[in-house]
Amino acid sequence: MTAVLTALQAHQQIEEFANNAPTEMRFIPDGTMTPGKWIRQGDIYLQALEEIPPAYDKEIFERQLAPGESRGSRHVIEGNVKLFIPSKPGNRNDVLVGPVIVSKERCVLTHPEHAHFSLPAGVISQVYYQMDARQAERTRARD
Amino acid sequence: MDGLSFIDLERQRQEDDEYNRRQAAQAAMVENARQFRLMQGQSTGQFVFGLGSADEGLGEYSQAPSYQGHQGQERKTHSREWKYHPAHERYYVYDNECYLIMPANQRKPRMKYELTPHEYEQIAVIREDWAHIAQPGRRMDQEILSGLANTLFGSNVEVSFSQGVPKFNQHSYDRLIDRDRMNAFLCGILWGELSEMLQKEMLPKSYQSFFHGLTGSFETKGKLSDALAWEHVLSEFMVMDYAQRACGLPELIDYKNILLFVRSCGGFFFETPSKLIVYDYPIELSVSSEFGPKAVLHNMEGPAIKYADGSGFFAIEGFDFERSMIEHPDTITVKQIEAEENMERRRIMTDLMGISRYLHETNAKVLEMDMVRVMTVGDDDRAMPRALIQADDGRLFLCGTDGSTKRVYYMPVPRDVTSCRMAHEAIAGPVGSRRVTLKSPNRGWNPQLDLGLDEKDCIAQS
Repeated sequence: MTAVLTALQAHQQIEEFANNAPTEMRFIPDGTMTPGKWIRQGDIYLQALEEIPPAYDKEIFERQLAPGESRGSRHVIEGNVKLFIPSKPGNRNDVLVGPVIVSKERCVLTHPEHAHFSLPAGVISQVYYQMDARQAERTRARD
Repeated sequence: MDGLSFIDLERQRQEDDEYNRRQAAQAAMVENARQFRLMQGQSTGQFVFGLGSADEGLGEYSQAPSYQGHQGQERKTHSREWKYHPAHERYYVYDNECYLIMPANQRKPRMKYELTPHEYEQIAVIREDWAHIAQPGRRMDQEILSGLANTLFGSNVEVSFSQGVPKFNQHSYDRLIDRDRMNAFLCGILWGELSEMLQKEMLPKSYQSFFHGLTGSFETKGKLSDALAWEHVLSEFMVMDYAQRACGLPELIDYKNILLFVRSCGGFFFETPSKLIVYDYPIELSVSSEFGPKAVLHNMEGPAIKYADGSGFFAIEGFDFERSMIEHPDTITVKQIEAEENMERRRIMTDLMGISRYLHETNAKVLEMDMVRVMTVGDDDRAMPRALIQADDGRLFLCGTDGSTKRVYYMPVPRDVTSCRMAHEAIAGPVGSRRVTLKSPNRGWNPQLDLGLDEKDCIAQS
């Protein structure tokens, strides 16, 4: 299939899907988001964990998961949830850069543009979209 | 080409000059703030105030020496942070926009202030009043502004008026930042007074929860600040105005002068420590609410903010762009797009350039195209297409959509990926994030490729 497609044709196919993309809430059934499973909403990823990582001992009250004032950063977790970050920056896991979300009942991940998610109770970690190869290289350099 | 070309050097020199001028202007602002407070006989170390977000660079302003209550503490985070300052015996709370002072024994989330029916009614009144400030069509009153400038900044400051934003300060987004920063400067004075009054218990205790409620992300502020759409710091003045007019807050020092100054011009900044430029309101303003809950600056064909002298601020979907990109999109180059790290800006630039021209000029080839399901749980079998595209210089892009928005993105991926799936895994989370799933690895972390999350574990996307 790919051999006969030009880049422009591929773009047009993807654009056609995007124009009719499903916008309804994604309902994640109970028992399906087991540890290791993840969902993506725009540029953030939420992955189920078995338990709260030990370093994540400080509760925060901010419910917006991505930093920033732009509309694209308005990934907000709603419901009866608690969010935790490491109290000591040095203990922060270098790859788990977002907070850990702990919910004892179903919660909703909202966004002004992306489809919402209804998530089952559990422990969820947040990680971000990796910008590009150059950023990856910079991250390696920092490590 | 190795090294810097003449053009690069010239551009760098101009950027250095611009930076130095901005530094001088900021230093002038800080010095004026200090002198103003000394003039008023106020102490400078007993209150704390910071405005703005890290994204907008206003965090720098909050480090001004005049506002040193939180010096040395961490910033640039949007999580609510509690910091204990032993010297002041106070906790400082950073919550997106404001530092607030809390007594040491009150380390709890702030209380939500319940407005009275009268106070609720006044929200609409004040909102409508301030909405006019953010709209074009008014003209500044130079006589009033001259007098106010002398009162607020001292008689040794020369005041110049401009119909638009002078060339010195025209660098697109920086200009709005300056505008906000300068508003923050005046706003900081007001909030400083208020903070001191609260600390010294010169106000009823109810005001503490009232202001903590107003300055947080609570309902009242949202209802108020929607009126200002694209404005940033101006909303803080509106909250102050609301507190005074609707809720009976005692007047602060120079409260009326500061608000009148802010309301009487389009913006201001210090070109030099002794030269204040005050500019007029815009004559046209283009905003759109199509891109989110709050209106953003948006004009695909011309300036989103247009001033009488022909200058303007160019923005699409709230993102600033150079004038030439919008007025002459045919001049956009692949190099400019590649240099852009923000994916939304990159998408808009690609759209402006025209996707067919972009793909043609990059000699792009499709290496692989596949389909990925929107949801892998339940009976929803819809799948979205995506393609791994290679430019002529070997760079790879994953072309795809979110699954719920109408956008198509070109996401740069490492050159060593060979499939759409590998490309997605490479960008799914930070480097080595697979290590997070310590107890559920489907396959080992690959240190060579630094894969992110395993796509096999993906349940749903949007």
